[in-house]
Amino acid sequence: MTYRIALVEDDSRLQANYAQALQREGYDVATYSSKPEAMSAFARSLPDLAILDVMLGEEMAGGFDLCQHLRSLSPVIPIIFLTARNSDLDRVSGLRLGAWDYLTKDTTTLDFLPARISALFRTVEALRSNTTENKIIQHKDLQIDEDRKEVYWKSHPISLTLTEFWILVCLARRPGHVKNHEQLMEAASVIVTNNAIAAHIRRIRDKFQDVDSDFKAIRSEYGMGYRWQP
Amino acid sequence: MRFSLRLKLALLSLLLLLFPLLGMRLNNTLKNSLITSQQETLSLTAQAVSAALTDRNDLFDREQFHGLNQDRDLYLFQLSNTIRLDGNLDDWRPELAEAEEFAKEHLISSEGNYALKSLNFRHLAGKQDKYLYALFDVQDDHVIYRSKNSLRLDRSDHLQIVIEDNQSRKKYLMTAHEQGWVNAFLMPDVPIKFPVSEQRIQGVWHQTDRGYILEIRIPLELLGNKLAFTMADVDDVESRDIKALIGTSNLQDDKAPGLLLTTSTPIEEILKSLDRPYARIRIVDRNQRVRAQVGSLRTSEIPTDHNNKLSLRINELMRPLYRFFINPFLTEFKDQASQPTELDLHGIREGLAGKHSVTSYLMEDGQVEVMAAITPLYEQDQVIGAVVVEQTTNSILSLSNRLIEETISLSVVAFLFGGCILLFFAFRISARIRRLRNQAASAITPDGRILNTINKNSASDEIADLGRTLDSMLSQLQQQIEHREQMADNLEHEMRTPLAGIAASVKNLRQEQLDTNPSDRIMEYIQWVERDVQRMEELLTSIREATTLKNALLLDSMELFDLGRAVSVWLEHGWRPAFNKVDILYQAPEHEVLVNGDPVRLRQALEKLVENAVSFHTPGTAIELQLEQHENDISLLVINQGPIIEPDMQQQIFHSMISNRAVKDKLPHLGLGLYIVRTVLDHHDGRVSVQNLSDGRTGVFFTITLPGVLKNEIS
Repeated sequence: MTYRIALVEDDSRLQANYAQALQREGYDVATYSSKPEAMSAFARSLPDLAILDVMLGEEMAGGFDLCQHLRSLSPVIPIIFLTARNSDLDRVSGLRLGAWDYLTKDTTTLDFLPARISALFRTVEALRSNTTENKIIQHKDLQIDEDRKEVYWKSHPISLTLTEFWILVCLARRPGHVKNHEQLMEAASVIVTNNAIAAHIRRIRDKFQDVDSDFKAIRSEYGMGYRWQP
Repeated sequence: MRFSLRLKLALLSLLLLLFPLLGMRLNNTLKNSLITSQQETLSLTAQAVSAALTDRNDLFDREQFHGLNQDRDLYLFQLSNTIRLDGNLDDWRPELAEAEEFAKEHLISSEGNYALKSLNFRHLAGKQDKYLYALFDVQDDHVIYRSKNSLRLDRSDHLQIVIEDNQSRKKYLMTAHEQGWVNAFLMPDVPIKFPVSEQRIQGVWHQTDRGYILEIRIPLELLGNKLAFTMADVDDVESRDIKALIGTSNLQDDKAPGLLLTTSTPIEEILKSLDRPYARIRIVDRNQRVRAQVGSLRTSEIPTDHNNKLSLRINELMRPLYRFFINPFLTEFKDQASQPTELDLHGIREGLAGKHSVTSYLMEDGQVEVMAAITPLYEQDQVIGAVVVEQTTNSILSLSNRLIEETISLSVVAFLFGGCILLFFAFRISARIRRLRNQAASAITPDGRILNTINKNSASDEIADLGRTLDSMLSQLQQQIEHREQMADNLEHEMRTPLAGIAASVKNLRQEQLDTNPSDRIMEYIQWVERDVQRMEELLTSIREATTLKNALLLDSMELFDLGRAVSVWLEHGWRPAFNKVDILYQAPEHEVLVNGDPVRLRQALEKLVENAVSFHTPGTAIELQLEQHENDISLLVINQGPIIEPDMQQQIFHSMISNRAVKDKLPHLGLGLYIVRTVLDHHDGRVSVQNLSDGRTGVFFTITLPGVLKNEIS
C-alpha cells in the first residue's frame, strides 16, 4: 500500500521540494500551506503520517495546534515536526504532544527524512502486529522495545521522541561504554552540533527524572561523550 | 598633584576669612567715627562749661583769677600722701616733682654777691586734711642754728611766713637751735613786743649733706587768702647777719604777699552741676594752674552681655585669639595728680591764647589714652583761663574691642559653621560624583558586559543629570548590543528557511540528474552549491549557538567534576587531534581540581579559547594551558605568543560580533567565539579576561576564573 503523508509547510518552495523528494520515495504527499487548510482536510480524511511545520504563516505555534487537533482525531498517527528553531525542540519534547519525531529544517533534512519516515511506519506496523518477538533490551530497571519504540524505567513508560529513543538505545546497548557525540549522531541519524546532542541527552534525563528523581544512569564523560551506567 | 573638588571647596571656604577682615575694617571706621564724635562731644562740653562760667566776674574775682603773678602766687597742691613731719621727703611724692626751685630770680635781698650754693631751695606747698603743709629743701653751705642764749629769732637761718587776709597781715618766723621739732613765732607788729610762740604752726628741721630740710604745717584756719614764704640765710656764726633772702613774694618793697591759690570750691560746685560722667573737667588759670577739677577719668566697666554660659565659654576659649587683635587698655589706673597742678598739655597755651583744640595724650606707659578738649575761658573778652575736658578713650576702646571680639567670635563661628557646611557640601558633591564615577566604571564589567549600575537619581541638579545621561547612554548601548544580538538571531532564523529551500532544491536536482545520466560538470556544480550551502549553514549554526546560548544554558545540568582531569581528556581526545600542527602544553595538577559545572559547556568555552590561541599563535611557538587552584577559586590560563590586543579592545572582544582578527583561516569567524566563552563563564559564576603577556614574550593570555569547590561541600 502507498502511505499518504500530509505535509503542512507555509514556505511554498520548501513545500514543493519536500513533496518532490517524498514522492520520489514512493509516498503519496498532500501539501497544505496553512492551519485552517490542513484542519479542513484532516476533517475529511486522516493521513497515515503528518509532517508539520511549527510556524505556520503568522502563527508561531500553528503546528502545535494542528498536532493537538490530530491527536484528538487519532492517537496513533505518527507526527514529525519540522522547525527552523532549535528552541522549538524543547517545546516539542516538553509539551508531550505525542509528536514522534522532529527535524530541523536545514541542509540535511532531506538526507534523513525518508529514513525517519520509514522508521516511523515500521513502528506503526510493530504496534499493530502485536507480536511478542520484538527486540527487547532489558538492563536492570531499563526495558526497551526497539520495534515499538517503547521505553520503560522501573516499569514506568517513558515517552521519547525518535531521536531521543535512538540515542538511548545507542547508550543502553553497551552499558559502561562511552559513546561520543559523533557515534550518537550517527545512531540518531542526525547531523547536529555537540551542543544539540547534549540538549538531547538533557531531555532524555529530564524525562527519566520525571518518573524517578534519583535517575543518574546517563553519565557524561567530561563533555567528551556519555555512557549508560545505572 | 591632584586638585580634588573637595580641596577646591575647602580652599573656597577660606573666603569666609573675609568676614573678620571686613569686621576689622568696619571696626576701624566705627572707632574713628566714635573718636571723632567723642572729640566733638568733649569739645562741646568744654564750650558748654566755658559758656557756663563766662562773665561770672564775681566768681573769678572771688576765686582770684585776676592779677595773677606766678612769681608770687603760692599754689597749693592737694597732697596725695599723708605727710609726716620727719625730714624725709618720700611722703611728698608724687607731688614732689612739682616742687619749684627758688634761687637767684627770687632773690629779695643779698649781702654781696649771691652764691647759689649759699642759698637755694626747692619748695612745695600743699593741702591735706586741715593743714597746709610746706616743704623747703634748702641748699646751704653753712647751716647756722639759733644760738641758745640769744632771744633774736632772725640771727640764724630761718623761715619767714607772712599770712594776710582782708583785715590783717601776720608774720611768723621759724628757726631752730638744732635739728628736730620747731615751732613758729608770731612776730609782733611793733618791734618792742616779743615774739609769741605759735604752737599751731609746727615743723621739723632736718640737716642734710647739702643743707637742711624744713617741713612745716599750718592749720588752714590760720590762713587768709595770701601767703608768702621767705627763706633767710645766715652764713657767719659771728656776725649772724642775714646774707640773703629768697622768697615766694618780695615783701621788702611792701608788696602784698602772693595769693594763696588753691582749687576753687564754688567753681567745682558749678562744674559738678554739669555732671559729665567719665570725664574730668578742669579749669586752669592763665598760669596753667589747675583751679578747679571735677570728675574722674575712671571709666566703669562697660557691661558685657556675657550673661549666658555659652557666650562666656566662647569668650574664654577665644581669649588667646582676641589678644592678637584687640587694643589692650587699663581700666584701673590712678587719676593723674588729682590735686591742683600746673597743667602742661599740648594745646593748653593755645587755649589760653584763645584757641579751641582737641588733643590726646597717653598715660600709664601708654596703656591709657586720654583725649582732652581745651577751650578758652573768657571774661569781658579777656582770656582768663581755659577749660580742659578730658576723657579716656577706654569706652571707645572697650566698645571697639567688644566689636572685634564679636567679629572674631562670629567669624570663627561662621568659619566653623560655614566651613563645615561647605566641607559637607564638598564631600557630598564629591561623594556623589565619585559614586557616579564608580557606578559608571562598574557599569561595564572587565569582560565587557554592560550592567547598568547607575542609580537614577531624582535630584534635579547637574550631577543627577549627568547620572541620567550616563544611564540613558548605557541603556542605549545595551539596546544596541541587544539589537545586534537580536538581529543576528533574526537573521539566522530568516536565512535558514531559504537555505533549507536551496538545499532541498539542490538535493532534488541531484536526484533528478542522477536519473538522467548527468555530465560530470553538472554534478560538480551541484557539489559546489551543496558545499557552499553547507558552509553557510555552519555560519548560521555558530550564530544560533551563540544567540540561543543563554537560554540553552538555563536548561543545562551542572555536575561536579575534576577539571584538571577533564582538560587532559579534552586535550588528548579533542584538541591535539584537531590542531595536530600545534604544540599544546599542559601539566595536569596532581590533586583533583573540582568544579561544579556543565562539562560540555566548559569544554566548549575552553575549545573556543584554544581555537583562538591556535589561530593567533606565532607558528613554531607552543600554546600553554595552566590550571591553578587558589584558595577560593580556580584559574585556567590559555597562553599564546602572537599579536597583542590593544587595551581598549580587551573588554570589547567579549562582545558578540566583535572580531579582532586580521587572520584568515578556514574556520568561520563572526566574533562569536569569545562571546560564547563569556556567556558560558557567566553562567558558571566565573570570569574571563584577556591581558597581554608581560614576561618579555609577545602575546596574550586569557584567564578563566571559576569558583572553587570545597571538599566539604561535596555531599
